[in-house]
Amino acid sequence: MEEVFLRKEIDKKDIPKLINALKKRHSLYAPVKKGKEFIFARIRGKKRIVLVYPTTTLPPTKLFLPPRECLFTFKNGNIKMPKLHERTLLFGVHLVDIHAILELDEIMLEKKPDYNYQKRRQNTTIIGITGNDKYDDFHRALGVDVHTGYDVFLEDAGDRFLAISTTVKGDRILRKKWFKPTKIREQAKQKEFTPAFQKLFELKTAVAMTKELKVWDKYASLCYGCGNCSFVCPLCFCSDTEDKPSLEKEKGKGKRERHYDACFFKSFTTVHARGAPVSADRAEPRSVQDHGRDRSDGEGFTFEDKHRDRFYHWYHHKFVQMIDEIGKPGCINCGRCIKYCPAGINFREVLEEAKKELEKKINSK
Amino acid sequence: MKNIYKPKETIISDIKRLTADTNHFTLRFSLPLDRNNFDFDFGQFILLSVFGFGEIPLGIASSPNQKENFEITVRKAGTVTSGLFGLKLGDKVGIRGPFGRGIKKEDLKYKNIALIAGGIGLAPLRSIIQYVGWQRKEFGRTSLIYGARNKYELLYTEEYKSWEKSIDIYPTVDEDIGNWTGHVGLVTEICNPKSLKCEDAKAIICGPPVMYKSVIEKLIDLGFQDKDIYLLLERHMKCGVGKCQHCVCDGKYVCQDGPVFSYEEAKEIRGLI
Repeated sequence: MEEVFLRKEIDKKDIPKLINALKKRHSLYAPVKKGKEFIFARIRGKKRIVLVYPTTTLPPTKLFLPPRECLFTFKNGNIKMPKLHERTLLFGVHLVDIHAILELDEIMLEKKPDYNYQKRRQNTTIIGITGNDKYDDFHRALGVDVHTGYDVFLEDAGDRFLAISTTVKGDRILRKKWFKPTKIREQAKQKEFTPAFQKLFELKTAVAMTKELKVWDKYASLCYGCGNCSFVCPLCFCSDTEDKPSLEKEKGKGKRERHYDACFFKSFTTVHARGAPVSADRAEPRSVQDHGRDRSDGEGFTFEDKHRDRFYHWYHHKFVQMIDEIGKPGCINCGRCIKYCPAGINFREVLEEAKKELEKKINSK
Repeated sequence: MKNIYKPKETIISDIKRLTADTNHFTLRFSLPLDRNNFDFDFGQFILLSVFGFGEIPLGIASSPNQKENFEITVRKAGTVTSGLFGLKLGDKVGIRGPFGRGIKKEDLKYKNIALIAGGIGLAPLRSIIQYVGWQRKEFGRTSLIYGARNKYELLYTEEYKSWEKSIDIYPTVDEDIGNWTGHVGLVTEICNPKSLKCEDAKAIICGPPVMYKSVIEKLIDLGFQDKDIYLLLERHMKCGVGKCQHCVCDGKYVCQDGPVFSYEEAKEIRGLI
């Protein structure tokens, strides 16, 4: 028998009281205003949370895969794993961001589960909220289709929220006194989206078949290779690890940390094979991008040595590789990479142009 | 819950100097359980943790039938290898793996084998050489064509005598120094029907990135099939489990789909070789 979960309503005025109650039992993260931007922040004390916001600077997926985290500590070769018991509640997540969390789950939890991610994910309750997301054709092409992935969803209904629970954890929250029985109907819009596979396939071919074409030269020459787009992307998860020895007197003590990496950096694919001949285009004068973030020590060998190829790789991963792997692209069209790109590169334009160039190429044959 | 990033503890039980910058380490698992579970195919790799310095991918240089311990050959090149060179007997290092897709022992059985190595690329092939020596009757003619920079950079020179009982060795060097009496030049120059048997044979290549294309061309000239040429490839493998994305090439994970690719597979993957 299919389980039926609670469905209630809550007055918007009661939300702060609810937050206060939830805060006692969870580490609570919710959107707050910071300067001109919005971020998900740990709510302590009387911090004002916002119920309506465009997008946050960093997506909520980054709470499960933080910019820097400890994988384990070591002392004279003995390893100690971190304890990740913190009960967390994510309040006010938009549907697109929830979609990103679900997609990241497929990558991090299926096959070989990532321990830290799994622990954090299991200890987290998610409360979704109606965003001002405008779902357009592009979302449909990407197949953004969300009606799962949250414990409770708060759907905007004027002065109140319709609260929909989908889990036992969600029911527990909805039993709190501020939630009242309701007659509000759920808006159909949430369930309208069906993945448009036709368009998805179109996108995939537009990237897969154009590696040699000029469109990538054009946009790669604009790109600074700063990696901003990767750091704000909900579905960028490349990482590197680094050992940090302790500065204390005790020898052999320290920790292994994992931190973000981006495929735009030259060091991303460098191997330290001393004396290996460098590839041919090292002889060419190097571009700004190649100087920018070259953390390799000049020795070794770099695969995908050209900035252009690394730029292409980002698109290839998102729109070809991930579609092959999980049937969905590594993009939810949240627009963060566009907003924070210092070079003003818009991935939608890049994809459109790739599509056009491909058509031209096919027609000219 | 299993943590895929947790290394298993091993102890350095032997260190041997091979060349000016290359050492050979023997590692022994601290726990008998870890030792019993450690089995690998040719060409699979491990991730070695030198605590305080980091983690690097390395090939296994000893035969899979050697159960007590296993061996790695390391050239001092970057941070982690420098850290490793600072360790002494009895020090602990961490091991994860083996990872990736290797060459199954059965795939080589009763075949002629051509091993083509450049520089430190000989290390993972040593496990095949030792295994062939151990199970000599199960394999056809096995030849090793090995190029190094000069006489002093040749690895495992002390072992050639015992290897020669079971395989043919054809070394070549780039620089003619130190009274070298053998061949001078590229490995491709000494790949010929005399040095290696081309019928019913498997070729296995491991060396610096520039070596592959020319060697493959040569082998195809000699009559090798695409599917019979195995390539042991190198990438910046960081996690070993297909998460960190460093080793991805055209949508394929070198750490999962490789590090061994047949040329038949490899030619379909853009930018792999």
